Amino acid sequence: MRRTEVKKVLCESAFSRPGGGCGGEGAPAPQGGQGLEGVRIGRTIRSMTSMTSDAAREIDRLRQEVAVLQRRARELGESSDKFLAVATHDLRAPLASLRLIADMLAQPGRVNPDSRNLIEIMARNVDAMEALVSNVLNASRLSHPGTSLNLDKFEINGLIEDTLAGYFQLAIRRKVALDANLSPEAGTVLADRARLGQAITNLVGNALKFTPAAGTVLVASDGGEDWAEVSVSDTGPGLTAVDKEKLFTSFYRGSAEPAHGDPSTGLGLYIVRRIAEAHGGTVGAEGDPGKGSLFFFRISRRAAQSIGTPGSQEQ
Amino acid sequence: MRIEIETRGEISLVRLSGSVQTTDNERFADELAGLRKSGATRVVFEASQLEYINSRAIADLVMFNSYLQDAGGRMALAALNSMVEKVVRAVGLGSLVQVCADADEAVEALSG
Repeated sequence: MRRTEVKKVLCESAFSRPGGGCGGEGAPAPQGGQGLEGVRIGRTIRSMTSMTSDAAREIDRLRQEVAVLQRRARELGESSDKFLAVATHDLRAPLASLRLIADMLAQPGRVNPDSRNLIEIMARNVDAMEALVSNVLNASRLSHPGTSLNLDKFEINGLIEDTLAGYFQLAIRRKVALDANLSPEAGTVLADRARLGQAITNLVGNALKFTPAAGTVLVASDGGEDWAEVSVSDTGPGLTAVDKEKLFTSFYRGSAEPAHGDPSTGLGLYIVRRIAEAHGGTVGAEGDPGKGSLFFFRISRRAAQSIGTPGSQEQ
Repeated sequence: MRIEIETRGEISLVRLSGSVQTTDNERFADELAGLRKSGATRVVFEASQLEYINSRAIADLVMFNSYLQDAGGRMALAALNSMVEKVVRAVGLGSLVQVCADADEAVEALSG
């Protein structure tokens, strides 16, 4: 089909004349009075036809090469994901061991105050690395098409409370007020508790990362007949227009610097988006530079689907 | 947030209700400062009607407990809801002070 079209275009552009036809393979030979001119045209047509066939063969060959390359890219992507999953998993064990040792050494009376300070710095860095490894591992897992959800029915406010409690120590250390406004309307959801907990953790962690001392982070919940929502607002540096557009894509780091020197993989909000989408939901961000920001995800109460279905592909 | 303080013998019973958020932190800190000024050294915080307490107020309670200990006094928490109890445990306050089922139990615990 495509070859015929190519031929037709060539004919129309190069040989169309008033009253003239379009030759080609099998076209009648020029007759009598047309003479040498007709023969030349015939040869040219045959030559062009041959070139068209060559071009078509080349296109076929390239198409096959592209298919092979696509298959290899897919295989490389899969093996890269597998490598990432194994590597990050194996990194966590020694990190956990280091954290345990740091905790033991930091106990009162074991070391002098100067050494204790150093051990606490070490512990914080181990925590930061653990968070990085976890984010990379989670993003890798969530990028696998068909990753399934472990569905359970539970009160979403209870999950928020558990997550919030885990952040109180950090909020106190950073002199940030951690407020909560949980609505009973948030109710129960049929969802993957661990993954939803991860989404809330990432939102709260992100807010505490960018909110300076004396600031406030507010975690709120709400709900309707078919949906439940979790939002986290803060008094941090706010968002630019580009931030709002790109924050939920992988490896994007916002325009603002973390207020407490935390590292960032640019994966936390991407993970939130993938989890929300897997639960038939959406994510969003609001805020302007210097005016704080608000992040939220809204999920369907029941319409959880497996991660990686067409509706949840990264753009 | 609402705070009511009553005295039972040598014990100050502080009833907290509502929610302690950023907008309440200054007043909460003032109430604790008032208790210190009054010379209270045995204090029970009753929280059966307390829905939420934020990180700043929890930090104030930890500091207040340190003050009481330095002054030879003690503090107890009573009737915590699940959220407040999770927070109290998470920051380690639950291992520093007595956590009781209700105000009467807490008052009795500090009376000895």
